[in-house]
Amino acid sequence: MIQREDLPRLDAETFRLLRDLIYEYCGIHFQDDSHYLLQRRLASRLETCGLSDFAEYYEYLRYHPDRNEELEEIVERVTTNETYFFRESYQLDALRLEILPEIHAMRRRGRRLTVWSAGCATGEEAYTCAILILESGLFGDWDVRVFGNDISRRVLSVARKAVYGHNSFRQTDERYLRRYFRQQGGRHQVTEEVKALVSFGQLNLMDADTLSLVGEVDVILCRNVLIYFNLDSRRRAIANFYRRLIRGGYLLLGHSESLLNLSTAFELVHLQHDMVYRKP
Amino acid sequence: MDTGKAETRVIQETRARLGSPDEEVRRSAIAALPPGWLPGAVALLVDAMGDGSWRVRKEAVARLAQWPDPAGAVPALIAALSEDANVGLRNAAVEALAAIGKPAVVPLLTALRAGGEHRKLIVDALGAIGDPQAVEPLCTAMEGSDENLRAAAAEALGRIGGPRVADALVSALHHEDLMTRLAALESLARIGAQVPLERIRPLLDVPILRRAAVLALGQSGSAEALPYLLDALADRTRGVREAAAVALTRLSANAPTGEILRLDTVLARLPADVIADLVQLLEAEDRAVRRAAATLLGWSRAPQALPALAATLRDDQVHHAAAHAIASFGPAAVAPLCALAAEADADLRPMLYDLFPRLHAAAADARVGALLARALEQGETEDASAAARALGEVGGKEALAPLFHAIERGENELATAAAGALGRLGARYSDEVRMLVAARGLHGPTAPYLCRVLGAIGRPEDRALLLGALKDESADLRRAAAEALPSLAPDPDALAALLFALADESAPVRAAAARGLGAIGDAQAVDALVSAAADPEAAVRAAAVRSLGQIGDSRARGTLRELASRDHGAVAAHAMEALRRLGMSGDEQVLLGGLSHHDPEVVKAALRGLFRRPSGDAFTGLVRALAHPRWDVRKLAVESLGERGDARARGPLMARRAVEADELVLSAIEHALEALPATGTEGGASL
Repeated sequence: MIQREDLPRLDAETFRLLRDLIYEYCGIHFQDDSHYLLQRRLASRLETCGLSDFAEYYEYLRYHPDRNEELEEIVERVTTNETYFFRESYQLDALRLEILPEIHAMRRRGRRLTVWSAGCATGEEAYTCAILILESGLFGDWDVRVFGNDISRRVLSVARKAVYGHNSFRQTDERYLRRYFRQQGGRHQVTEEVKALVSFGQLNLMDADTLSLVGEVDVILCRNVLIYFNLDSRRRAIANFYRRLIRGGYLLLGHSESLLNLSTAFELVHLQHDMVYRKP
Repeated sequence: MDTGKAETRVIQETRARLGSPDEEVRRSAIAALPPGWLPGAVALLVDAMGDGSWRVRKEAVARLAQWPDPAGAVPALIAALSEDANVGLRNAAVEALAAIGKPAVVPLLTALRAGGEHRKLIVDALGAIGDPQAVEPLCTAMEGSDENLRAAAAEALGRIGGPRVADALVSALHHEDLMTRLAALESLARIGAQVPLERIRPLLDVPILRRAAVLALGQSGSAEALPYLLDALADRTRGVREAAAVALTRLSANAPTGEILRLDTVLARLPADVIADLVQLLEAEDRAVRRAAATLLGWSRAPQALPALAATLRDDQVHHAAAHAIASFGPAAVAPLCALAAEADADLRPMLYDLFPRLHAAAADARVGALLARALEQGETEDASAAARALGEVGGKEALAPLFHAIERGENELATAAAGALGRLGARYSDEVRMLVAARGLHGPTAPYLCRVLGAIGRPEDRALLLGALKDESADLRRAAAEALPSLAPDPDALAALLFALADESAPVRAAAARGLGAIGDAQAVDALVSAAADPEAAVRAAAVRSLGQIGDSRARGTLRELASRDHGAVAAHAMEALRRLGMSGDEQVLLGGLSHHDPEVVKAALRGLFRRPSGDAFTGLVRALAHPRWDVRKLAVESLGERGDARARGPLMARRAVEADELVLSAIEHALEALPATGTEGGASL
């Protein structure tokens, strides 16, 4: 029998080269001890691309005409796109009960609300925001836009389909499920009323120029995305958020994330339901 | 020095804004300071570091960290360390001094010698900077009468490291003060220094030191530490058990092979309650503990640990250790893994399938085959692909038909995995696999994958099939045939077909043909490949140039020189590489020109071409590359200089060592210096 001890070997130098390349592409940073993680997640790509080792894979990523598609594939494989509706509900309570009413008061002259789900993965967070905006009852005749971006085309295609299985609803109130989703063969499809408020785009959080397409934003949700970045990438992403937010606009991070040692530009606001950041 | 006496209007206005009750006004005032040196700014920024708002303090620290005259800012920051009434200011001053780094070291050491209540903060700043100049003064501070200062000094030394630090910290283990001993133990663990067992043993029974002392046992390098560690593995305190797990793996890593075997045997006799404790450690917060627990459970081969180890495969940071641990169970893991895979969710199942090949002969088991075949037929893409890969290693004849069916599912990832598996099984069952391919024929969407299978088997009898496929209307199939043909024995018909395929209308087919001709290595292909090196598609040019390098015929030299100088990316890099293989002295100028190419891969190819050339220009080129902005270029330059064996390289290498920050490059420099003969004068030449 042919015996294969392990996966194709990723030596220390090629690991560093691949790591640098991925970082350059999307800001995702791997620490030195992520060597085996990268080896395991990418090993099957060698076979798919018809390559014999990781050195050839590096050359493929540098020069092949399909290099961008392959880099997207890497991002898919090294990040966790698992998310669900109404995740971290107390932060969403702060959005619904405190932030949205404040923005309603602040922006009533222009009657326009823009919420950005940054690094939206398969779209659950963006649709959750749209549902909360509808539920608030404050923005009926406003120009409401919820924008979700991700670097991966595959997750954006799932987001646009807006059809989700059970895993996406582990924290969803039955009332919302009935009101804003339609049953579709054991899965749930987001209703047109919600979909109409939401749009998606393939944008890289490191790319300040293309992020200008998002325009002025009232609220940014960027939860459990910065964990993939190193200090420098986080600072760049936060600086980009700062540029896009209006004065008084809010930035909501995941609960394991903070701006400590990242930025002094935002103030920490103690709302009743959560602590969030605001552009002064 | 910035005295703060000659304040400009900008500073006065900023100072006025710092009086605002609005923290954003105060923070913006600091952020808006113009870049560069400003008279009076240091005093203002130090004042701002005492602000009640963390945002203002951090902004001031960030500004001071980039101050153009760091030495001028240091005295004010050191003075701020003695501001007893303002903790925020003191902490911000330590942070700013750490950010300033080396220019702050001498003033901090002077202040340390001068004494005073704020010496602990000075020591903290020195530790955060980590400069070796501070080692002796910190060793002195560790022997002083102030207990807080002693502990802080021990901690700071642990951030600097080195042999002198290790000796001082080991000596400090005798100190009567508990906090000093604790800080010394923790710092020894941080720097990974070896600690003699006789120094650790007395500390094991001191409750407050036990955890740190157990951890230090892992650095004792002595098999006599083993009974103490096994005892600690059953300790009532979880922290001690965690330390024991980590220490055992470290002890094993540093022990001779014979000791590892003994450890293996000892752990196989661990009682059930200790195994249960180790299983709990698989969920510890510290990943080093989780990895250690997985490793020890693998050595123990305790069957009750297998489900937990399997679940740990989901933990990215521990996956490798857990997989290795499960594999070490050997045949005993087969039945439990089959049962676990049957119950596992879609995330875990592929990880479990990946383990079967690591069980070697034990995985050639009917239960494994049935499980994988079912996954191949019924699983989602990722699940089925993992099953296909595993079947390629451990499957028998009965796996062949399901693998063919998997190719027919029309999912690229799965079909690629199944074709790879059939190729591997084809080494054992070539007749069966070929018969199944022939029955299907090379038609339709599965044909490119079947070409891969035939290529992997590599039997001359299949050449006719592949030559036919090279004429198919599908470009994907023609490409796959061009990729497979070179794996069969050399043949004039195959060579002619591949030469003709260089004129294919599809660029991927032309590139595959060019690659194939390089793999065959027949000099008859040189003229055609030279023509292909002018292809409008860069991918085809790169493949043609690479193949010309593989064939190594001097007729291509003119083309290669042209492309190395004028083309870009992969084409230029492969042309450099091909010129290296030709090894002609007249090409040195082209290679030297490559050193200033904007693409680091071209620079590396040029370096590989130059490193065996004896000329002074080649040597100078390699030395210049030591200062390249890319670490991988510098590393290759270092390795090339080391391999040349020219003692003149020692000076430039030592000079580079003094400023190099990249660990891989530093390690390469050490290796190169070891390999190079010493010279009479070891002065560092400038770069």
